[in-house]
Amino acid sequence: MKIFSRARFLSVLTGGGLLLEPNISQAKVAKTPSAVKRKWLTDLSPYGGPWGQSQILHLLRRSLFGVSHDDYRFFAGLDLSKSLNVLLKQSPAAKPPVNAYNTKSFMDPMVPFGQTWINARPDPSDLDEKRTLSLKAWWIGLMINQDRSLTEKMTLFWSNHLATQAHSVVDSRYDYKYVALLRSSALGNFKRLVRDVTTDQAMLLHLNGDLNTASAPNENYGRELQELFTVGKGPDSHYTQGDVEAAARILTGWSDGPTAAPSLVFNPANHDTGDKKFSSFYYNTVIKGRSGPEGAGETDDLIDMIFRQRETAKYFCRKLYRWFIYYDIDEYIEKNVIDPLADVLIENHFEVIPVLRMLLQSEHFFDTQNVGCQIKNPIDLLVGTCRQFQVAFPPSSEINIQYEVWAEMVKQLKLMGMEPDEPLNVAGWPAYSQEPGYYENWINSNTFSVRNSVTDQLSSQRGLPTVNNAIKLDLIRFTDRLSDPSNPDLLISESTTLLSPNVFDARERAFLKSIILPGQLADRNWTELWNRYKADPEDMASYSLILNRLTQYYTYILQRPEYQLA
Amino acid sequence: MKRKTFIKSTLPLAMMPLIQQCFKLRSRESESNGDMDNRVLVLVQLEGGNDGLNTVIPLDQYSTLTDARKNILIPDKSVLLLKNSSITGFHPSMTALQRLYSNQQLAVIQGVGYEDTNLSHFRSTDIWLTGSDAKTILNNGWIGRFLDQKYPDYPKGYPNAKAPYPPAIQVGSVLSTALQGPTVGLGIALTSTSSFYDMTLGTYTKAPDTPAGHELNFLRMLANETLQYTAVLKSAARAQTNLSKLYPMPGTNQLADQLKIVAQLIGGGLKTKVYMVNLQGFDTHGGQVESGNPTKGKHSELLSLLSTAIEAFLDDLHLMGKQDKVLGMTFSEFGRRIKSNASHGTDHGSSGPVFLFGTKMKSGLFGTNPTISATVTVDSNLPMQYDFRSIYANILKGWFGISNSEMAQTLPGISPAALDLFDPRQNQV
Repeated sequence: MKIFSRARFLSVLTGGGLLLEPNISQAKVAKTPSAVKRKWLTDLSPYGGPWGQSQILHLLRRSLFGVSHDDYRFFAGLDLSKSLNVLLKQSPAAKPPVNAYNTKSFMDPMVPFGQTWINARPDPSDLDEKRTLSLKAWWIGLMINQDRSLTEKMTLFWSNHLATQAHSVVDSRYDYKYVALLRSSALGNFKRLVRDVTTDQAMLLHLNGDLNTASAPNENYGRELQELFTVGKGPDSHYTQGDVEAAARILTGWSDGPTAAPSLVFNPANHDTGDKKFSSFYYNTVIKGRSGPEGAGETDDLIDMIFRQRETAKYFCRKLYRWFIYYDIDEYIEKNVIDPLADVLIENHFEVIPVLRMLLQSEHFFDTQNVGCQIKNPIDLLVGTCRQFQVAFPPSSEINIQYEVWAEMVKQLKLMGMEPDEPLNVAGWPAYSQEPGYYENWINSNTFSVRNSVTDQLSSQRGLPTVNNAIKLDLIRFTDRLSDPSNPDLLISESTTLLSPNVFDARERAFLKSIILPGQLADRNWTELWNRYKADPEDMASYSLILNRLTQYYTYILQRPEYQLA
Repeated sequence: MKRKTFIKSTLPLAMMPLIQQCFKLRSRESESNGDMDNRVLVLVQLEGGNDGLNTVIPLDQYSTLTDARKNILIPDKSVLLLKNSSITGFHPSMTALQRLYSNQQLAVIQGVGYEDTNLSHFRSTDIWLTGSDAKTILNNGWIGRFLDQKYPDYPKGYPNAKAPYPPAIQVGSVLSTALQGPTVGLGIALTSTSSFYDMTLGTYTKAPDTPAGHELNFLRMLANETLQYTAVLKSAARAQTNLSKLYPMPGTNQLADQLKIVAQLIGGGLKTKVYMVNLQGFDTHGGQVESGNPTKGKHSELLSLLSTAIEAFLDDLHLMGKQDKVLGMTFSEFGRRIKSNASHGTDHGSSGPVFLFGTKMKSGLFGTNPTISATVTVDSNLPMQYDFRSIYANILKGWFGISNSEMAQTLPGISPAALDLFDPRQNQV
């Protein structure tokens, strides 16, 4: 018996990937300007062009959340190949999330403050909510403290590709295991991960695998496994309803186990032992039905079969393309990028590192037509802005403050339409799958104004308030690390280059200068002020004047449409 | 002041919102003056430090002035004498303001400044915008503190049925420090005049035809939709066009371009209380006048832009029937030195004139011509006659009718200057 009956019932209704309409407010979505015609000359050949600031920043913007001065300086000393060696190194496992939610009015009866809750029973439900928020906050913390590695961006990629939703799983232990699985497999093997996720307990609950039995088959996971996770719905994907039913029959018998002892269970009594026949799309494969514990092995055979279908590799490469490059995949890209990339994936037995390396070191990746055209997702915007400006987050010795700050970020992300571990539906976030707008799904008049309000507050002198603290960008420190902040023209050109892939033209730079130097003042006014501040950083008068100017300057830049792009 | 001591000394400020809460109910109840609720203030910031002595010219000081600033002094015959005055006149490019003065739509307050003028543009601008004295550092503005009391908890819950309009609007720049409240800015910025028309017309600057440009176009279009208050701004702009024929060609007078928008919004029914606009370029260290031709040059051009823009604005408001709702004020972060320099310019100085324009304040000349000593040195400055904050206090009290407790929150310790600016109409001209 389950104790989460009501929530589980809801998840049965909504968790099936049937809800493809975004439920975030779509106030006034403007009509997209007509599509762009592109002329391609680049493919997956290794990039051999100039290796300068714009190429480095392009690679890092797509690989990390924001690019700090330190990140840029680190990679400026490496060539492309060595940079990828660094970026393609998997980060080690992290310490699990802990109880930082105890207060005078709320005490976890099972888990002491500062200890991890990942093995504790998730009831009653208000306790589970605290832990789920703790998990989401912890995950944001991992992104903020990310290594110079693709690990975190790939973890998020997987959570979009093999989506579960914490609010539908309603068991924080499983949510943690799921996120930890995605993260430890971030730069691992696509096929292995699909196999693992298929019997992951969060996924079993999310897509009703636990309810799928021989006597009452449930096709939910069997369908999404094919439609969304592997062969997809491309023009050459021709799996049939019969294939869905056969897959569902193979997957019968799995369950997440009793609440008290949540070990994965395969119950042969619930397993359909008949033979399963697949369509010509799967080469008329017959997977022999097995009884007893051996029935579990059919699941491995199912995954093997699906991965023998070439569409799986192609579909996956398109997802990677939309995550790292751009959403619009035309015939040329399909033929010259996706197809050869799929070959690499298959040749390497679905290891993702060789594929990522080939893509990220390609001429096509560095094609100027592919620079600056991604609309940042909300996590990239918020975590990236904090990392870019090297926000001083509370130390790990103050976990309550640490989690409070991370939880505030979770709250703001929800308002912007991207709460961690809560993809919009089983297809992930519409920005990566929903035609024709794709990334533009992140932006409507509502979410854009939240984005502006968030960056306004981050760059304000008060900061973005949390319950007892604030998240504040250190604008002076960021500026101080430019090559010569006393020179207003250099300050503007260098800071805008770091902050946006789009070139600010002369008119825009003149406006930016009028913020730093109002009233058409001569450059030396700023130079003198900056030097006065540097000579005595403790002097309140010059500190405050510098901060006022920089606050207006960065607030304006962070609101710009240009800043929304990566 | 050192930063650490500053943090301590500003602690009482942090408590301001609490104190304000106590007064809010009372001040709301006393707000019975519907007429005052519909009033508008337009602040015109002359950025860079305007040379007051070549703007409002003391003809009775010509012998000493000639010694002090021979290379830039306006010939006395060119000075535009003010109506009913034989000793005070305007720069010759200010014919429009001279007309407004004669028609009782302009007040000239001489010698406005503060004690211990700070000659840094940045610092002195902040002093004028925050309404602090020379020693205190504030990080919010006098208008922001005033409006914070009229719009409690802003921006939470705004716009709403009772307050559908932005409290303040900045045209042509980023949100000014003057509009910063204790926690957030009390208004919106239309960063350029073109951004206003983009928003109202739904147009945007087209980016190049690339994927990045495609996304940028999408974002620019959405940015138009996203500005809070877009709907009310659009409907105000739709309800009113500019009527005055006195506006110069668009793009030739940045101040007029901004004031045009202000007039259109006021005419269109927007009940925004404060607008801020600006005219840049007053930092005339060199080339303030043309060599050998002191009535021409940078300063002359700026004063002409200023005069033309204000006259057209008031004309526009008159044609819209809104002239009695609007008060304007010009100010600059400081004046300039009495003595000119060798490059036909002037360096940073102290006090200068403030202009008020409109139909409802008392017009005329306030204050006296400064006395220019025969022994002025490079460092000599004009004496202050009125503290700028006391003029602010006159406006808040006389124009907006704020209560004493609100005044205490906005400009603590400041009383209105002894000027009957808003008395029942008794013009001095």
